[in-house]
Amino acid sequence: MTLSSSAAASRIRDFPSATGSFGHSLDHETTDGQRGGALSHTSDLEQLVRRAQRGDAHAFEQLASTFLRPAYSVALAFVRRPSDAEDIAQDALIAAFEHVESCREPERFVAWLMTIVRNRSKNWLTQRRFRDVLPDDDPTEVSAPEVDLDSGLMRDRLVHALDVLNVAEREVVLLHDLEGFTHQEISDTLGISCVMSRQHLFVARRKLRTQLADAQVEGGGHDP
Amino acid sequence: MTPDKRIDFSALDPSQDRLRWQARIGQIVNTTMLRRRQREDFPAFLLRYARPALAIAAALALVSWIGARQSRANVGPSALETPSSTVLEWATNDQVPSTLDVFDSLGAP
Repeated sequence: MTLSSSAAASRIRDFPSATGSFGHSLDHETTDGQRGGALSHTSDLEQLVRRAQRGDAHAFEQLASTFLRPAYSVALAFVRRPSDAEDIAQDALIAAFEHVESCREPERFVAWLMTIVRNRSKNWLTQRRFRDVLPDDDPTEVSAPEVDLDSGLMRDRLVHALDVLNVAEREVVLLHDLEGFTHQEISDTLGISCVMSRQHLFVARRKLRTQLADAQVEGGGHDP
Repeated sequence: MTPDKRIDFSALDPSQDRLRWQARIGQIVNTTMLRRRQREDFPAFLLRYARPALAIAAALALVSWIGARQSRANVGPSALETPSSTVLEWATNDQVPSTLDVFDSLGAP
């Protein structure tokens, strides 16, 4: 199987220690651009999860390196606040790892994990209605001090643009364009069909392009 | 079906700040390990002390059983005799007890 996109390759570079079959980030890039590595099949993810179930700290680290960002993307699709999405993703991973024994189908770990992320995000949204002083549709948040002005503006613009999408469209476009997931992987992760994933991506991109028409935010590679 | 170009979401990518991101991953692993250890502590405590407790209980039961058995063995047949058994024995043997025997067996008034 060839690497599907530059985003995928970038993720491999980002997490060289991450291994497993789910997605690009679990594999190692070989010189001919083929997927390789010790853990390049579903059984490898399964083994990694089983090691985690036995309490192997290294397995937890690998799983966290690989799935924290997809978890963040799913959380962001719900809450539309990057820093809150990071916190939710982190909490969800801790909760999932703490009770990883209850994942009875290790080969479906990603779907299991994303269900936890989604539930936590929904709970967070429910709680925010009661506690938040900011209006629900205002994604503005205090930027991290290390974020410079340009990237902060760009981030706010993207977050505002995401508002025009529904949750399903946001999940798909973030997993596809930010995480580099294939439609099959999105299908496995979110429990929707590949056709639906393509449709959501098409609609989401069209809406986002309209919204971001004035901004030069487009870039990256082509569809896998 | 889908437009060719992907949307550049890199401004929303938190892993660009690698140090912060790695710290987050480290925090996840540390918290996970800590919580799992805490959760496993109570059953481990029970497991650790369940065997010695059972062994002590078994030893005590054995000692008390042996003690009871020995004390029963030390009790002679006469001590086990009751007035009714004495009277029964006199009746089966057609034995006529003396007044003294009657007082001994049934107790003096």
